Amino acid sequence: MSSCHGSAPAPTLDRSATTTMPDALRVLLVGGPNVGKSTLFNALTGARQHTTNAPGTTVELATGTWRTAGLSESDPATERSIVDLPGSYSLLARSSDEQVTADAVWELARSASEVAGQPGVVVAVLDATALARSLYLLAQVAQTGVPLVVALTMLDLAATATDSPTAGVEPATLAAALEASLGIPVVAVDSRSRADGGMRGLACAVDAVAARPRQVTGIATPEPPCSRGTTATVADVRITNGSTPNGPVSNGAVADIAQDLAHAETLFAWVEQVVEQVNASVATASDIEAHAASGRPLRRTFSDRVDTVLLNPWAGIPVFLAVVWLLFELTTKFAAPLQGLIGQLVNGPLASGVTSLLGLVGLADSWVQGLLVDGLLVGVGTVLTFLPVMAIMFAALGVLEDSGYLARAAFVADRAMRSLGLDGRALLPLIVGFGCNLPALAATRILPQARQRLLTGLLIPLTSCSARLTVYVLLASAFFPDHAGTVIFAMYLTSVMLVLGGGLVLRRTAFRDVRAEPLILVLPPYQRPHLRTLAMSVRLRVGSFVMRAGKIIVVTMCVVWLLMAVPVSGQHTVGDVPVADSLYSSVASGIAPVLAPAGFGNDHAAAALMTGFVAKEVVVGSFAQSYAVAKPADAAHAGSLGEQLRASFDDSSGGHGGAAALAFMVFVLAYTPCVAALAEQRRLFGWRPTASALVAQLATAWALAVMVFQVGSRL
Amino acid sequence: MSAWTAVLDDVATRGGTPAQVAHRLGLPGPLVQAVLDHAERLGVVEVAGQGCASGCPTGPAMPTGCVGCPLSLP
Repeated sequence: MSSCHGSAPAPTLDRSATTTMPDALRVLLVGGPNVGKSTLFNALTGARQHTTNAPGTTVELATGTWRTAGLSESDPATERSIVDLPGSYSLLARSSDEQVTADAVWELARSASEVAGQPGVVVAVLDATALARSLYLLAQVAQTGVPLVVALTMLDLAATATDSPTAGVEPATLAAALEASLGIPVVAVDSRSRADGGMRGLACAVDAVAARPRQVTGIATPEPPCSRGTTATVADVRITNGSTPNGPVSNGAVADIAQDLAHAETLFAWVEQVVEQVNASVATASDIEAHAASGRPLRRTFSDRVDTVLLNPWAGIPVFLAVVWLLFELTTKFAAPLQGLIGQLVNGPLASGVTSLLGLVGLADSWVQGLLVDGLLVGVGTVLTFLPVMAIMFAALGVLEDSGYLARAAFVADRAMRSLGLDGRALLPLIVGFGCNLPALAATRILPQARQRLLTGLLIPLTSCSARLTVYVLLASAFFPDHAGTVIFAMYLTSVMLVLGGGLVLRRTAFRDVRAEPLILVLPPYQRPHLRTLAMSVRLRVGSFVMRAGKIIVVTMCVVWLLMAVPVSGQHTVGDVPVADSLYSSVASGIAPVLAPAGFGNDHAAAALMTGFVAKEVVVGSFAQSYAVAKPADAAHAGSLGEQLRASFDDSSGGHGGAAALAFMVFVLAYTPCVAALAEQRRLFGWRPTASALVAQLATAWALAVMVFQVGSRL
Repeated sequence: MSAWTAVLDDVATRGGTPAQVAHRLGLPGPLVQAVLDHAERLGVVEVAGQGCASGCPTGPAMPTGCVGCPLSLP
């Protein structure tokens, strides 16, 4: 097993003695899904990491700085740039995520072969519990010719797997056996360990390989371009290997299927050979005899026994639904008191404090106070109130992922989602969307492909979040007091139909390329989630939400305040103007005629929909403010607000107030959920898909509302 | 015979899930999964039932894996 100076101290942070190389060593973490790659990345970088999208894609990459102290006091600390590439089973990419990984490896191979290229090393993360599968990817990476180091994970699970030849084998023994077979450094790592966990050994191995690359035994690497006597490119090397990272080579004299098959034969023969060598090295004679003599199926593991229940359709689906229900409850009911508390804190003591401070400097009741308290502070408050929801969602997803259950959830829900071109994991965010769209969008990260994440992210706004319920309750009780429950149920049914219909339409238009990958999933063994890793992951993801989505939310809130603060009629000063005389109302009046075909082309409805763009929770309050009546304590008892609504909707619809109210509810269901969800979509998918989705949502909402009203008013 | 050849021969003649193939051949499950995954990426193995939810292909386009399915049409 590779190690340098086993007694050396653990890595420490020593900024004063850090060597920041102008051409820092670039390290790529490559491995299959669920092999502990991201956990290793977190352990190596700590807080020195950030996420970015891979160039030209929406695939998220975590990059960071891996810093270690020197081997001795005279040595400076070393910094390396490290990238956590998307989990991939193969360099024959089938998705944009896998393509990003393949491209990064090939790019590093090209750079490594150049004299002036940036130095780089690939750390291949191998799962000791599924060695053959990991070796297959390792062989492909080795064939590119990149300098390679192996990080061996899941050793604790491999040691306790009763049906494995590695059962009871010490991690160091297994790593040494693998290193002897591969001929490159192999480091046993335990990223969850509070001690070094092999991190220092990994750093030493990476630095050593960067200085003097070694070839994997038994793997032929491509000739260096300079030795070919031509200007060979990476593409040439790919053809030489018989396959490309883009997928199977389908035609051409050089790269035909026979060559692919021959190449695969060689590749798997090597995998088998390594597995046999390692097993022979670690197994004792008595083990081999015991296995040979038993002649019966090996004992089932704990994971096998649990899976007989959780993967059984009759038990697995109810368990999956129960898990989703729990997530739903956590992100709505459990988070609600925390959200209320933060809201009270921001709107109470914090707002009072800022107001008092402004009073001290003579800015009380000025437009500055309005901007700071009613614009900026409200925006910050909105971001803060979403923190509990996001933190709970990220923590829950982390637990499900780390424990190994998420892979099972994907399995049991797969068939239901296959018609939409999505795999089973997509069902979870879609159901969570009925609680709140924002954490549901965040939950799309569990999907393996960027296009699947985008498709799911575009469908989530069509799930009827709990904030929309207040609008349904108000209008249903005001217009259909005897059938309010049925109307509300119909709205949820409409939401489900919109998700399915929207999914089918998108699959047949903009998302023809999306197909559910067959579930050849490696189901990871069940394990206990690690609190420290989980906390770090939640902190990073919540931080990313605050910094990237939060800015958009705050700016939007300030713009809304500005619209409400600028007077367009009456004698008012900026910041002290009734809504009816503000620019906001003027804009609403301009929009109202567009809504006339849907039967609710009045200023009140238009203003409420504009406010609803910010958050659906405030639509009822906006109606109350617009009609200058008190907001009802219970939306089901609309009182004078209900009378005002009936009067204005009857007026704008030519006496068909009920149909107009239904159309209004459908519009609320189908158009943009809230500015926070929009900001999260922008964070996850970029501006272009978000803007396109915004336009599509508004157009769909308008078309559906017009249809509902036109049909309803004729019945 | 290598694992690659053994798995492809077994799948071609008997079909089945990766776990079943691994059990029949006495090979590690992860190795069989890797072989099938690679074979599918090369286009030489198709996953039966992949088109079930979106409509069965019929006639000459019907995948071999669907032939025995009671819902498939000749």
